[in-house]
Amino acid sequence: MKRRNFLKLSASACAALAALELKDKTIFKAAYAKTAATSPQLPGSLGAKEIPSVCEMCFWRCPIVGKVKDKKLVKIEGNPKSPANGPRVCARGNSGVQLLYDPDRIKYPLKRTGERGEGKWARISWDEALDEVAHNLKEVKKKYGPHALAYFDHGASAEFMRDIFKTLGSENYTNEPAFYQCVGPAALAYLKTYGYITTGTRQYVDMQNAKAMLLVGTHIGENVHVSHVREFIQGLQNGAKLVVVDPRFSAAAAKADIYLPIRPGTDTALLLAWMNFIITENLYDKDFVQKHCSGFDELKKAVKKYTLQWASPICDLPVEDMKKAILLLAKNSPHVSIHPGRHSTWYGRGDTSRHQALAILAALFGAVGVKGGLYFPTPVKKGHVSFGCAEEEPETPSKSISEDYYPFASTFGSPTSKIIEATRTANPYPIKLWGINGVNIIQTIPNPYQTMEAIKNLDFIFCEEILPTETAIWSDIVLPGATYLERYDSVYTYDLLTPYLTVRQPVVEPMFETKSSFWIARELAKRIGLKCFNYNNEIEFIEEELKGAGLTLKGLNKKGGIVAYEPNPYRSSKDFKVATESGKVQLSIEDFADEDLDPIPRFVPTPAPPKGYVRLVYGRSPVHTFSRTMNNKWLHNEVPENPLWVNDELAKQVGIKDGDEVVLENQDGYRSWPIKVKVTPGIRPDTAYMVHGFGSRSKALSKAYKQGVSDQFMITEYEDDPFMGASSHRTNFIRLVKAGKVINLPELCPPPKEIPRFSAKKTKTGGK
Amino acid sequence: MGYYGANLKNLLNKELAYICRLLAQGFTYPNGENCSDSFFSAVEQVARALDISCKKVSFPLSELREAYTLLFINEPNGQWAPPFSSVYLGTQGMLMDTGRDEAIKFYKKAGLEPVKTEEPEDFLATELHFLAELVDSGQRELLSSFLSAHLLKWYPHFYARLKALEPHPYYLLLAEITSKFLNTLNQEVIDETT
Repeated sequence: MKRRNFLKLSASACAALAALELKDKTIFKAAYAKTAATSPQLPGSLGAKEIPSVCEMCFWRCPIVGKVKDKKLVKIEGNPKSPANGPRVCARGNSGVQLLYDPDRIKYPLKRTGERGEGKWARISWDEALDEVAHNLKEVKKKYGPHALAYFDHGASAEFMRDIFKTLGSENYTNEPAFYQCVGPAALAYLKTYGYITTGTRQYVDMQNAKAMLLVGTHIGENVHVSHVREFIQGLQNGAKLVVVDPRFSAAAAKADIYLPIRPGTDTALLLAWMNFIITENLYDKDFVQKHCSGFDELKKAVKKYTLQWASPICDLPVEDMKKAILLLAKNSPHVSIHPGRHSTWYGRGDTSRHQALAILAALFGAVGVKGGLYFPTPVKKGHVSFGCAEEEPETPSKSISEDYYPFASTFGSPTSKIIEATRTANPYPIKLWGINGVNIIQTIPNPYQTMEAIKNLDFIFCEEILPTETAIWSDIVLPGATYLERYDSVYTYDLLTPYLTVRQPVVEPMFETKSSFWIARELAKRIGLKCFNYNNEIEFIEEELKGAGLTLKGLNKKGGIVAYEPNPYRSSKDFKVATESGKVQLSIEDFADEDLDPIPRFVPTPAPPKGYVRLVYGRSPVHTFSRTMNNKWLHNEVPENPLWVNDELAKQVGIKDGDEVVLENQDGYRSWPIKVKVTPGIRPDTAYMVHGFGSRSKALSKAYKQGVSDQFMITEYEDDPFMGASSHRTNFIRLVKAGKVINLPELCPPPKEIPRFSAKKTKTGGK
Repeated sequence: MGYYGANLKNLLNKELAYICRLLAQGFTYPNGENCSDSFFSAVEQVARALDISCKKVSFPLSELREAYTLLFINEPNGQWAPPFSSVYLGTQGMLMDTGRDEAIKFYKKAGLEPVKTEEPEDFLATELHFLAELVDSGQRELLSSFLSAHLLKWYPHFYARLKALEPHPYYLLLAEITSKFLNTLNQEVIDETT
C-alpha cells in the first residue's frame, strides 16, 4: 500500500485536526534515561524495593513486605521481622497482587444510570460523587431524623466513615456483619465471663503450649490465620492431644485423637453434660474455681440434670466416646486449650449460651492465664488519636432497634436483621439511607432476597468498594476504595503471644482514581459540614499514634516496619484478676439474669430437618476469605467452586454419585444454581456442607460470577440470638434436584423426641 | 537509505501525529474537548480518509460518558473491553502485567515517560499518544517495532472483543478507525523499509 492511497486527508481535514490543537495534549515528557532500558533487569522480585505493611486479604492482618519494581508490586512476602508469621504468608496473602491488579476493580466514582440493581453506571468526578452522598445524608436526616441513616461496615478502614454516621446522630452507625453474622455471640459470652473479648478479631488461646485441645466446629487448617495455624500445628507437634467435635470430618478432625461427629445443633448439650461430669467426678480445678470464679454453686445445680446418658441420643454420640474425650481433656488440665471459636452465629437461639458453655468449661479446668489455656492480651502502647468527631454516643430513639429488642446488641451496634426489617417495614421507624463499606452485604447477611427488597425502599444507597460486588451493583453511588496495598490506615498492634506494633502503608500508588478510606471520609465530612478528621492526612495521625510508642514513621521503617514486645499472657494465682463486674470469672452471669435471659447456659434444641431435607452447614476454604476473594484469579485457579458434601450412605440410597451435578432446593422453595456433589463418609447423613462465599451473582466479577453456589441464597430462614441479635446461618435445610426431579432425602439419623422438627412453610415449587 | 529516508520523512508528518492524538483523545473519558462538534467533525474526516463510511458523528456528552463507562471502566454484566495491553498480552489477564512492562520499555527507549495519569502506562490512549510522539520525532525503527511487537499484538484482540459487544456506534467507529489506521500505518512502514 502506498501512502497516497493510505491517507487522503483533505486540506479541510488537516485544518480540522490542526484546529483541535492536539499537539498540546501530549501526555509524555522526557524523563527516562535512554540507557535505563539497556541496564540488566534482575529476574522476578530480585532487586525489588521492599516496603513493610499489613495484609488485609483476611482480617488476621499479618505483617507483610511488598516488593516493588518500576512502581509495580511484583511479590508479597511475610515481614521476616514479624514474630508472628515471619516470612510466611498464606495463599491469600500472596495473591494480594491479583486483587490490586484485577481489571474488574472499581476504578472511578460511579453513578447509577439504570434501575437500582441493574448496575448501569456512568463515571463521575469525585466532587460530584461526594457532593451527592453528602446531599443525601443531609436530606434524609432532615426529612426522617438521624436514625434513618444506617451504616454497614467491616474492617478498620471502614471505621473512619463510621464516625460520620455517629456524628450525624444515628444509632445505626455500626452494624458490623463481623459481629451480627459472625463472632458476636461468642464475643459477648467471653466478655461477660472473663471481662475481655477472648474471641473477636483474635482468639487468645495458647494452643502451642497445650497438652490437649478441644475444637467445637472450629476447623483450623481450612480456616487459615497464619500465626493461629502455626500455634495449632506447634501444639500437635509437641504432642498435644486433640478432641474435635464437628458433624463434618474436617481437616482438624483428621488430626484428632478423638473425633465426635455430633448431631448439628446439640453442642451445648454435650458441653453441659461434660460440665456436669467433671463437677460430679471432681475433675474440675477446685482451687481455681474457689479463688477466681463466682456462681459455681448455681452452675453445679443448673447442670445437674445434664448427664452423658441424657446427651447421648441428643448428640447422637456414644456415652463412652464422650466420656473418653472429657477424661482426656481433664487429664491434661489446666494446660488445655478450650478453643473459644470464632464464627458463632449458627442457630440463633443458644449461640451465646454455647460459647458461654465453652468459656465455663475452660474455667472449670482452671485453663485460664496458664500455659496451654486461655490467656490475657498484652496491650501494646500507642498514642491516642482523636478525630474530633462526636465523642458521645448518639441519642437513643424512643424505640431503639438495638437495645429495645436485644439487651446486649448495643455493645456491638444495631443488629443487621433489625436494620433490614426497619427498612422494609418502617417499624419502629423508617430507615431511608444505607452506607456500606468493606462488606458485600448481599452475600453476607441471611435472606438476601429480603435485603434486596429493603434496598428498593431506600431513598439512597452508596458504598465504598474495591470490586463490583452485588452491593455495588445495587448502589446509587459507588466510591472506589483503594486496596490495603495502596493506602495508609492506622498503626496496628498485636497483643497475642508475640506482641508487635506495625503500620499499614501503601506499597504502590493507588490505581486509577481510587482513594483511601480516610481521604473519602474526610472529604465527605467537609461537605456535610461536620468538624471531623482534624488531620490533613493519615501520616499526621499515624505519627501521633507512633509518638505514644516512642516511635516515628521513619524510625519504624528503619527497623523494618515492625517492633516486637515481650508478652505477658499468663498470671500466677496471686496476680489473677479479671475485668468483670465481680472481678471474678463469672460462671453465672447476673447481667443476663437481669434481662430475663439464662444466666447459665441451658440446652435449647434447634429444630431438626423436616422430612426429606438435611441441614445445610458451611465453612471455610484455606485459600478464600468470606465472599471477598472468589474473583482473585490465583485463588480462583486453586479453588474455583464449592462442591456439596453429601454423606456416602445417603447418596447411595438416592442414587447420587460423586461428581453429579444437582440443584439445591431449600425448605422455602428457593433453588440454587447447579453444584457438584462430593460423596464422602466425612459428613453426617443429616447434614450437607459447602464452603461459604461462592456463587456470586455479580456478572461484573468475571472470575467469580456463577462459580459454585452461594450458601447465603439458600439461607432464607433465620432467627436472632436473643442476647445480642445476631442472625442464625445454620437453620436452613435442603433437598436435591437432579435432572429436574426433586429428590427427598431419607432420614438416616432420626432426631430424638427432645428435638422438635422444623415445620416447613408451604413449599413453593419451581424455585426462585 | 536516502530513498527510504526521504519517504519516511513524508510518512511521519504532523497529520499522522494528529490522527494518533485524535484517536488517543477519543479513547479518553468524554469531556468537553473530545465531545465537541469540531472533534466529531475531525473524526468523520479521518474516517472518510480511511474509506470508512460513517454518518454524521454527534452524540451528547452524557450518552458517551455512560457508553464509555460501560465499555472501558466497569459494566455490570462484565461485558466490557479493557483498554489495557496487559489484559491481552499477559498470561494472567491482569493489569500491570507484561503488556505494561513492554510499553514502558518502549517509552524508555524513546527517552520518554508518560506524565502521571490515573491509568496504567499501557492504557490504549497512552499508547496512541506515544505513537504520536514517535511520529513527531521521526523514530522510524522504534515506531515499526512498537507497532509490530507491541501495539498490534494486542489491539486486534481488544478490537475483536469490543466488536463482539455490539458497542455504542461512536466507539465502534473509533475502534474501526484505529484498527485500520494502525494496520495501514504498519503496512506502510513495512513497505517503506523493504
